[in-house]
Amino acid sequence: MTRIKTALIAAAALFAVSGTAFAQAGLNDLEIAHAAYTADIIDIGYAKIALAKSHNADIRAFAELMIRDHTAVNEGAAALLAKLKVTAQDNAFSKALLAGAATKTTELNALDGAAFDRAYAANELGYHQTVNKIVGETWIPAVKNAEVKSFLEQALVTFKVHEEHANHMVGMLK
Amino acid sequence: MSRIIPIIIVTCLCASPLLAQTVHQVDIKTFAFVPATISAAVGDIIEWTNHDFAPHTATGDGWSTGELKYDATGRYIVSVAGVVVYHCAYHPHMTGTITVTEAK
Repeated sequence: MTRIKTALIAAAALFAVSGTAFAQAGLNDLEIAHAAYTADIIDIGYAKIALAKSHNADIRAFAELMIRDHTAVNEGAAALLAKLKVTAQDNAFSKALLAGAATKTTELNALDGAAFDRAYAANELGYHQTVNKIVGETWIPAVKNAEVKSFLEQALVTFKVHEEHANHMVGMLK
Repeated sequence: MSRIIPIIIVTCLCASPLLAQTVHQVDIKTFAFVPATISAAVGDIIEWTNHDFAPHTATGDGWSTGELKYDATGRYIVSVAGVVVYHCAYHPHMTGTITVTEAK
C-alpha cells in the first residue's frame, strides 16, 4: 500500500511539472536562463519546507544539500549573465513552473511526519527527472551561446546527482 | 657587508622545510576527484581545486579542507605514512585515496 501511495505521489509530482512541459520549447537563451534559475529557486523553496517540517535526518540532509547546490548553481548563472552583460528574460514557462510549484507547496504543507517525508522525496525525484529531461533534451541542444550551453551542461551534472540521491531516498522511505 | 648576504640566503634556503615538499594537484570536477588515487610522501601537500558549481570538500579522518566553492582551493599536508581515504562531506559517493610513503 505504501509503495502504491509513493508511486501515486511520484506520478502526481511528475504531472505537476510535465503539465507545463509543452510551454518549454522555443525559448531563447535568456528565457532558458530564467527558467533554469526559476527551477532552482523552486527546489530551494521545497527544501525550506522540508527543513521546517521534517525530523528525518536523511530528508533534512538532502534538503540542506538542495539549498547549498542550487544556490551555488544560481550564483554561477548570475556571474555568467553579468559577464555576458545580459539579463535573464521572464517567460511563460517560468510562470508555469511557479504556478505548478505553488500547487505542490500547498500539498506538501498539508502533510506531516512520514507522509510528508515520502511526498517530499517523491516530489524531488519527479521534479529532477522532469527538469533534467528538459535541460538535457531540449535546452542544451537549443542554446546558441557556447558559455550558456557549457553552464547548463555542468548544472545538469549536478541535477543528475540529485536525481540519483532522490531515487535512493524514495527507496529508503518505502 | 656584501660577503654576509649570500651566506644568510643559503642558510635560509637550506633550513626551509618547504623545499622537500611536493604539491600534488587534485581537481574536483563533475562530482569526482581527479585523479582519484595519488601517491605522496609524508610532508607533501595535497591541493584540491573545485571546478564544479556545487560546493565540495575533501574530508578524511580528523581533517577537512572545509567547504570549497567554485574555483576555490584547499590544502592538506599528509603527516603519517599509510593509506588515506577521503570523501566529499556533502556528496559522500565522491571518494579519493592517497597512498602516503615515508618522507624522502
